[in-house]
Amino acid sequence: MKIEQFDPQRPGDLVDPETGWVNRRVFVDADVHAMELKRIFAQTWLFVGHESEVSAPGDYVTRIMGDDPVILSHSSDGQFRVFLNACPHRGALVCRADAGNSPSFNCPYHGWTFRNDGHLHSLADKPESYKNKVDFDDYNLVQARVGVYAGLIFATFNEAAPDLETHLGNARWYIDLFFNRTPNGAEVLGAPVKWVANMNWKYGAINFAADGPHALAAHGPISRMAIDMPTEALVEIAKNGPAVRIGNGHGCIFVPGPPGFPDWTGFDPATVPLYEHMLSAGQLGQLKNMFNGVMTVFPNLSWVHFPVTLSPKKPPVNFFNMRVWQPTSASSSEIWGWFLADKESADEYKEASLRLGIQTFTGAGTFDQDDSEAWASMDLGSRGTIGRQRMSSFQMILAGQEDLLPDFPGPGEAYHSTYSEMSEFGVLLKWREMMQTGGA
Amino acid sequence: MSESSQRVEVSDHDYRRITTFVYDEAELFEEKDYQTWLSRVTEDISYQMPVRGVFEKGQQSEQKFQNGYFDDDLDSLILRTTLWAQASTTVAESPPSITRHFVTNIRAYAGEAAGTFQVTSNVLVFRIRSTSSTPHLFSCRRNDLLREVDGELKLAYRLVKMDEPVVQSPNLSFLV
Ligand code: FES
Ligand SMILES: [Fe+2]
Repeated sequence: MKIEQFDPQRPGDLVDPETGWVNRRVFVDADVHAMELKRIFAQTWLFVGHESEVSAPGDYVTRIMGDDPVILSHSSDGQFRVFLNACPHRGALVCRADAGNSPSFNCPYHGWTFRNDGHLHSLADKPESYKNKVDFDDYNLVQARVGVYAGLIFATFNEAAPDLETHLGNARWYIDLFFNRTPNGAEVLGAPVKWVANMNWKYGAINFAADGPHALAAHGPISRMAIDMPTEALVEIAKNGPAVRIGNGHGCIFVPGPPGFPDWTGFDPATVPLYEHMLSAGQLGQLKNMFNGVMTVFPNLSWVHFPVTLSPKKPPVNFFNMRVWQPTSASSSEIWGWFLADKESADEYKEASLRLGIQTFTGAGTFDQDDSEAWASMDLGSRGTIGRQRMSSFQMILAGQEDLLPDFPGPGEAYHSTYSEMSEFGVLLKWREMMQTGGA
Repeated sequence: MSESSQRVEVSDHDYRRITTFVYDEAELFEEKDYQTWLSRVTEDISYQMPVRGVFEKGQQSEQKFQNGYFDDDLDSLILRTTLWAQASTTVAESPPSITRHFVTNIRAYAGEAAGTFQVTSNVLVFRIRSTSSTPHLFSCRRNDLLREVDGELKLAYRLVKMDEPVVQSPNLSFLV
């Protein structure tokens, strides 16, 4: 099947919800990419940072929302604020560092300065020189709406977007499992690593929503080495791990431990007792036997959490990698990756967890190194004149949709298998909806 | 220069041994002869490549935890290089990427402990991947500690300061 003709104003038609076919233009077409910056990234809530990155007043980090540079500022009045990183005078970046602490941002061109709450502080000339002909209220930094959930800071420039709670909806139950399971929550371990992948951002978001069968095809040998399970056992647990279509395009999978897998493998024994104060019985049940948890919050925030060891002498420890898929162009994305741990964990645990994360899930990671080549291959195979007319298949949904789990403890629709393509395809269904209507 | 001003230069003979070690190593990387390379590192080797950032002067925060691309010991280096060296064990290196290592600015000083040397160098790696015939150039500075073990030089510590805040390559399945 091919979609030869489509209305360029309705690119959502390129995703067929009935059959699971997706025209490959969705992943390679520059016009589609330009439109999704408007219809998705400028419309919905985007992750900009974690509270622990800007914990002190004056702290700031610079980030990207879609294709716009922004500043996440912990302003001196205690608020988290997000500004367009563009001078109201002529549009220059007012901050060109990755991170720092400052009471103000100073424009490099004509020297206007702005307080870290976004207010214009000084101009090149005295305000009186404008002879009262100018309203300086128009000259503050443009502020986005900011919402925080479980330490995750989101922002949107869309005044009409439903609030963050509505956008996240059922995803909050799952976010809690990772970011909100101890009284103090999670903290980032250092600054994000950033690297460029030659692929459309959606390949990443879909992969983390998540793609069960690729794990052993692309990462077979490293999985066997780092996880110490025979391939058949790994396939078995992946096939029997639920895939959750959470709603609003959010999706996740849980790969449970195999029979005999001790509860809380890889977790920090010091913080597990704290989970009982924060999580429901259903959430605890889901977490304690979790071998692998992978999730995407629509559109482009993801994380992965599982126990690994790269040394025969050391027991497996969970790493917790969070990442954003920055939509640089139709065929290129910046991956920004952080590692996190429960704030209450001892430094020793955090260091072990971080080290294993660096060894597995970064640009040099023993897992990520494979995905990036596979994704670059998908881009190359799909972007030609003939290639982009072909369809990508999510047709496992035709079988997978019949296996709804009736008594899964979490909200949303949980399907029996990470091989079902159900939660992955959920990302594209939300994408379809937003690309048709042009809004959230 | 500041990092080198108070250091003790090594003898010509040792400088020669050290540059030979460094150039040999570059060739082993190019040939992907990781087996031989592993025989030239100490059992307690630490190999690190932390994240790079852009900061205002004096604003680079002292981070308690250091994210990065490599933070390896001998076991993880063995695992990584085993994956890279064998056919079909990684998508990343099957087919193998083509790399050329240009090593310059080699300086060597006596280390703090007897029988050790502090060696700094700049490295430019030219790399072609199976999915990209456009080369990725990877520039970095290395701070090494070499140690004499039974009369042979071995790499005990390497800190790779890479120069790209955003690495322009989809993966780093090679060593520098
Ligand atoms: S562009 Fe910023 S002061 Fe003129
Ligand atoms: Fe993967």
